[in-house]
Amino acid sequence: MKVRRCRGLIPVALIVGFLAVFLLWPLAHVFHRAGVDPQGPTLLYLRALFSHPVQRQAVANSAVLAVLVTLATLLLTLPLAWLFARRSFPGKALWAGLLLLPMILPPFVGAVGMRMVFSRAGALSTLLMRLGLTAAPVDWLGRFPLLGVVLLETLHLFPIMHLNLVAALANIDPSLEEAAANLGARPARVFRRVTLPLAMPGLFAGVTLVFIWSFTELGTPLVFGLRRVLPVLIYDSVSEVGTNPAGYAQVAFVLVVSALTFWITKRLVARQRSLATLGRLSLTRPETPLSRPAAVLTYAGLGLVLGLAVLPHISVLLLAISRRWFLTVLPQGFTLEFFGRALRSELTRTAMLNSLGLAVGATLLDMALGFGIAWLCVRRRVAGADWLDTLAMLPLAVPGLVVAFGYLGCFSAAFPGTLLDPRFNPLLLLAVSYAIRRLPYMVRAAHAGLEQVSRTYEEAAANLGAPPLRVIWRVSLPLIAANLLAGGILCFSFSMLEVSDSLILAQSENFYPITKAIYVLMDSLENGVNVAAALGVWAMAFLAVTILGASLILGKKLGAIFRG
Amino acid sequence: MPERSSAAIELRGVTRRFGNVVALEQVTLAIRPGELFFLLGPSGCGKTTLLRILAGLETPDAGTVLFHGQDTAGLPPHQRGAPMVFQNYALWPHLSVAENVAFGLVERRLSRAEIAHRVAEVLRRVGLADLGRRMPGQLSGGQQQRVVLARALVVNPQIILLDEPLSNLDAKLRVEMRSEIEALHAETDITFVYVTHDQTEALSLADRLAVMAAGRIVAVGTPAELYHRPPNRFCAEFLGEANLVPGRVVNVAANTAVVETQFGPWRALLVDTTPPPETGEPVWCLIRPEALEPVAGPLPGWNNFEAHVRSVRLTGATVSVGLQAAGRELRALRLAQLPFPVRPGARAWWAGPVERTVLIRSDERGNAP
Repeated sequence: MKVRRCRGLIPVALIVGFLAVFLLWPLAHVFHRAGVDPQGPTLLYLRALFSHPVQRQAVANSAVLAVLVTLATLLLTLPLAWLFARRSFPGKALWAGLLLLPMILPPFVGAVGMRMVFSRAGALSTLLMRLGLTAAPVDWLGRFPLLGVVLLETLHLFPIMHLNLVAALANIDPSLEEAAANLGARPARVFRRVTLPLAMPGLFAGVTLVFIWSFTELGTPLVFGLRRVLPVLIYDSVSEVGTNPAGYAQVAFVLVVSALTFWITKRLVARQRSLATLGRLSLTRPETPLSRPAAVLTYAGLGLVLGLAVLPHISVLLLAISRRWFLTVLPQGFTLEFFGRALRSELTRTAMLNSLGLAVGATLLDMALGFGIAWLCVRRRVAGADWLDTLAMLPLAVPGLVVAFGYLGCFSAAFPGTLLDPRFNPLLLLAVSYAIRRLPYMVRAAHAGLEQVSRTYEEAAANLGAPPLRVIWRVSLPLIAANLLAGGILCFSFSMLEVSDSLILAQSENFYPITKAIYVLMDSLENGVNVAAALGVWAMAFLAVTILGASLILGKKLGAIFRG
Repeated sequence: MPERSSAAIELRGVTRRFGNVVALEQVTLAIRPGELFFLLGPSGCGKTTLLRILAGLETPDAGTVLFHGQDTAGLPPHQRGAPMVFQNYALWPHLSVAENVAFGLVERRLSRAEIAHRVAEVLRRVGLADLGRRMPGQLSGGQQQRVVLARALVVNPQIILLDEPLSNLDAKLRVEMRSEIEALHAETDITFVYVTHDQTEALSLADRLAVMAAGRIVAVGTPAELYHRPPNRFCAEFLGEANLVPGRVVNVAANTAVVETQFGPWRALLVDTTPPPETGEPVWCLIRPEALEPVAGPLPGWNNFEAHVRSVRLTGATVSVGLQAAGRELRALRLAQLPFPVRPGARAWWAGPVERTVLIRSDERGNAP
C-alpha cells in the first residue's frame, strides 16, 4: 500500500520539478536580479523605469500600445461576435474559418511586408502622390510607428478576442434575454443590460490575452522601428544580461503588469461566473437568419475585415515574388527566384529544419506534460491539484520575452558549456520555452477531454483487469486523442512561428529558427528582405497545409469518437 | 481444521465516509457462493458505494472485505476479478463490440485465437452473434446492456457486480432483461451482487437480499421472509404497501402478542424478539393491503376494524380500496371482480388474519413509535 502510494507520487514529482526548474526558477532569478544588487535589496532599477526618460517613455508607449490594441480588437469583434453567435447566413462556417486566417502569421512577418506599403518609397505613399493627394513622398511608418504597430497587432489578434466573445455569447441562456424582452426592454437595451454583462467572462478572457500579448510583443515594434517600447528595450539589453540589471528590472515590470492583468480579470470573471451560472434553463438557441440586404451588408463588412486582415499576408507574398518594389503602388518584375533561394540557402534551410524539429519536440513535450497535469488534477485529484493547475496556467500571464530572458540569465550562468546553456546550444531551451508557453492551452484541452469522458470508462477497464498505466494507454488516451491532437496542432503552429523566445535565445546562425532567420535576413543585402518574405510564405503555406490536414484527420477521428 | 468462511463475499464492519457524510456505517454481511444477491435501498442509502468497495473502486475507511476468505485490503481494482456491470454501461466508444468484450481477455494475455473463440461464444450466448463489428453507439439500449453482460461474463469470473443494470431501459425491455439475467445466473455458478432501488426487481429475482437505509443494512433475508415478516418499519414500507396501526403491547405469548389499538385488541406475530417485547411498549401492527378482506361483521380470532370506504380504483387485475378508520388512512387490495362488492361512501367491516399481521417495534433507526 505504502509502496503504491510512493510510486503514485513519481509523476507529480517529475511534473512539479520540471515546472520549478523551467518556469519558477527563471522567474525568481529575474526578480532577484531586478531587486537585489551586491549591496542588498534595492528598488533603484525598478525606479529607473519611471525616472529615466527613455525607460519612462517606453513604459508609456507600451501601455498606450496595449490599450489601443485591446480597444481596437474589442470594437472590431463585438459586432462580429454577435453576428456569429446570433445570426445565420449562407457560408457562415467558411467565414468563421477564414477569420482565423490572420493567426497563422506572426504580425512581425506581416510587418516585413507592410513596411513596403507604409515606407517613404512604399505603396501607400506612391498611391497618394499619383492621386495628387500629397506632393512629396511621406514616410508613414516614420511618422506614426505606434499606429502602424497598433494596426498590425489588431489585425493579428482580433481572432483571439472573436473566439472568446462568440463562445461567451453562445453560452448565454436565451431565456434570460427573452425574459428581458418580455419585461419591456428593446433589443439594444437587452444587449446592454443582459447580454453584455453575462458575456463579461469571455470578454475579460479575450481582453487579458490581447492586452498581455500586445504589451509584450517584440517582433512588430522591432520591424517597424518603434524602439521605445519595453520589449525592444529588453531585447537590446540581452547582450548585457550578465552585467546590467536594468534589463531584469524591465522584465520584472512586464511580468508584474501581465500577472496583475491576468489576476484582476480572473477575479472579475470569477465573480461574474457565479452570476452567469445561476439560472441556466435551456441552451438551444435558434439562430435568426439574416434578411437578404442584411446578408449582403454582412458579406461586404466581413470582406472588408478579412481583406484588411490578410493585407499583411498579401504584402509578404508580393514582396516574396517581386524584383523591385520602390516608388510604385504594386511591385514590378515578378520572379519565383526567392522561393528557391529560401530553400537552398544554408541559413534558411537550417532555420526550417530547426523550427520543424523544435516545434515537434515542443509539441510532444507539451502533450506529455499537458496530459499528465490534467490527469493528476481531474482523475487522481492529488493533494494540491489546484496549485498544480494554477502553476500550469501561469505561462498565460508570463510573456515569452520574460521566460527567454530568464533562461538566458540563469541557465547560462549555472550550466555553462552544456546543452542547458543557451549561449552554447539554445535548442533544448527553445523547445522547452515553446512548450512552456503553450502549456496552458494543452492542459485546458486535456482537462476538457478528461472531464467530458466519463470516469467509469476507466473504472470499467481497471475492473476488467487493466493496471493503471494500461488503463491510460488503452482507454484514457484514445478517448481524448482528439483533444490532445487539437492542443498539439495549436502548440505546433505557434511554435513554428514563435517570435520573442526565438529572437532572444537563438544567438548563432546554426541555431536560428525561422523567425530569427527572417529577422536577420530582413536587413541583409542582396534582396535579403525578399528572401525573408519568401521564407515567411513557405512557413505560412506549411502551416496552412498542416492545420488543414490535421483538421481533416481530426474531423474523421472526432466523428469516430463521438459516434458512441 | 480451523473454521473457514464459506461465504463468497464477506463484509465485516465496513465503514465509508465522504467528508462529514457517512455513506456506509458498520456494514456486516455474508454473501453465499453462487447466490443472486440483491442490495436494495433508496438512492443515497450507500448501496452503490458498497458495490464500488467490492470492486476496489472505493476504499473503506474501516472494516474488512473478504473474497472467498481472502482479505482484499490493498488489492487494486484490476486484481480483484470481480467484473462490474456499470449503470451507464461504460462501453468504450472507441472500441467495437467485439473489442469491448475482448478487453479483459487481452489484459489476461490470452492468445488471439482463444480470445476470438471466447468472444464469439459469449456474444452468441447473449444473442449478439452478428454484431461484433458494430460500434457501441450503433446498438440499442437493450443490446448495449447485453454487451456489458458479455464483457463481464467472458472473463469467467467467480463474482459479478451489477449496478442498477436495468435502470436505463424502458419498462418492457426491463422485464425481458430480468429473465435473461436470471437465466444467465442459473446456467453458471457465479455469485451475482445486484444493486437496485426497484423492489419489484429485487423481490422477483433475488435468492436473498439486503435492504439498506442511510448507510446501514436494516434487513437480510429471502424476498418472501422480508416481505411477509419484515423486521422493522423501513423494510415493511420499502418492500411494498404497508398498513401500520399503532398500539401498545398488553400481553406477550410464545410467538404472538396482543396489542391494544384504536380498533380494539389485535394479535400480531413476533418477528423481532431481541429483547422480547414488554407490556406497555409502543409498537405498530403491520398488515399488507392484500391481507384485508371485507366481512359482514367482526370475525372472531381475526383483527377487525370498521371503516369508511373513500375510493375504489381498478388498476387492472386488482382493485385498490382506500379506507378511513378512526382518522387513519388504510388501503386494501382485492382481485378485480364484477360487480365489486364494496362501493365508495359505504361503511364496512374489514378483517385480516393474525398470521398475516406482524408486530413492528422500530423504524430503521431503531426508534419506537
